[in-house]
Amino acid sequence: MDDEQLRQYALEARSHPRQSPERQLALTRLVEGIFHSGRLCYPRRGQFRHIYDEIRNEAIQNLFFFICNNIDRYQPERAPVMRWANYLLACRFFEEAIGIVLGDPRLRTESVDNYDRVSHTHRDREPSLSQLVKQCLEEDVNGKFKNKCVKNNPQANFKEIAKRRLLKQKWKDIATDLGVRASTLSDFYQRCLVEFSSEFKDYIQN
Amino acid sequence: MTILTTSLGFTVPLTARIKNSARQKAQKYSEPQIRERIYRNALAIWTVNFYCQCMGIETEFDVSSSSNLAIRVLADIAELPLKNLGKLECRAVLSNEQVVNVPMEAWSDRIGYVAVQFSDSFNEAKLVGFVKTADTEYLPLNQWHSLGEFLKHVQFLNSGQSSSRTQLSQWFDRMFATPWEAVETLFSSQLSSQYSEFGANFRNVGTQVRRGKRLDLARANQEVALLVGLEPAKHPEIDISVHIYPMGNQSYLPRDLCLEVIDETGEAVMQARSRDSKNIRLEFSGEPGEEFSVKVTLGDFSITEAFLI
Repeated sequence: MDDEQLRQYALEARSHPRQSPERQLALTRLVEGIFHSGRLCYPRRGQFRHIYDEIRNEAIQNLFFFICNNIDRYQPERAPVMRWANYLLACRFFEEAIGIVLGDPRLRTESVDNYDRVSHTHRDREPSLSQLVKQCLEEDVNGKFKNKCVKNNPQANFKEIAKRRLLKQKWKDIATDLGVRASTLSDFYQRCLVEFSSEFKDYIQN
Repeated sequence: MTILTTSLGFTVPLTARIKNSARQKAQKYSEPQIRERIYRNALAIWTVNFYCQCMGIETEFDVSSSSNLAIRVLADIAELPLKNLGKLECRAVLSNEQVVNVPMEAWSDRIGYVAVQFSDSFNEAKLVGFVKTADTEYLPLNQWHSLGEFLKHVQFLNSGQSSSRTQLSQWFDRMFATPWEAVETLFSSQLSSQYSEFGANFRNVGTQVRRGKRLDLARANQEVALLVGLEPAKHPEIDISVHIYPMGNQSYLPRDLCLEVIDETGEAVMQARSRDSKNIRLEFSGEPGEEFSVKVTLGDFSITEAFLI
């Protein structure tokens, strides 16, 4: 993406009122262009070792948010878009991001990669939410889940459908088995989920 | 690794902080598959929410993240409510996937679907496409529309928000929601000469139905009337006419008043502008179930009325 193209997007965005799709579209193109330009700078390169990327990524997010919401502040006669963006990144958002990242104790003490992998498992100390939901469904204390069924088809009840969905059965297969159209079943299922959401919630909390 | 797609998208780097928050949600579940799903969905919702924030589209992110955790076990859904507009479904897709899964349990009660593609190690997320409705569980990426469609759709929904959508087909059953008035009533205080002149052009005849309402253009003495006329044409089509007339003691419309008809995608499809005009009008036809908006602009002020045929 060359400077002239980016400048055009910036000017285009500024020429339309806030909230207009034309402005939003130009901003989308602008930010996407900046990101993929390969020309976003690396402030304080060589510092912060393993958390460097984390700081820079945090800074880039905040830079994008700022550009989208402050494009009217861009002065095309003073600098090309990339120089403006890199100035903001280096002098403001990277510095701010250092504080954000260093303020997170987990990030400060271990490598980001490591912390990525270690925590990607279930925490055994707490009961699994999915197990609790299955238990709640299975126990069906007052028979509500089993009694809630598609009209005139007791086989097509919420409990049955939910159990099959938990076993990853496809909607069309469940539909064939139960003799109900898939769309009818899934509509029914969605309404049940809304209706029973508090039952599940209460069960989990107790 | 960078995601390679040529169509317009919006890419944002994901930080460990964001990924950690998604992971904390996922850790509450023991099955690896459910955990993986919760993790992806949380990141997809975060990414769409970030994009909306950048675009100035208001969301209810807190509602979505705190909504019933149990339901997430029983349904693969990732909703992000947009303020006053409804729920947007955020569908995650991995870098090596060409097809987006939209489970049937996410087919209803949605204002649209956004596909979010992740790079190999979830270091980047990219909004890659939008569709308004889902009718298949596996939708190839090349059949998704661009983000521009999403932005126009949001604008269209917003335009229907300022005043609730007027349902035109009900007019044939003589059901008129306030403030739509009979044309005679609306102009009852007009000068008689003016009214008769205009009444000749615009009165209920045969199968035609006509109603009008006042539009306050928020400028001193600038009040105009928006009149909508319906007439059944070749089934199921309905001929629609939209008129702007001056009100009060004005004989002419304010100069450079602009009347536009906007289609379902947010595109202005017809336009009329007043010069030294006594009225302006646009005519078109549509079918029941279709939506359109009428936008009236004077200077930097505009007012939009949404209709459902």
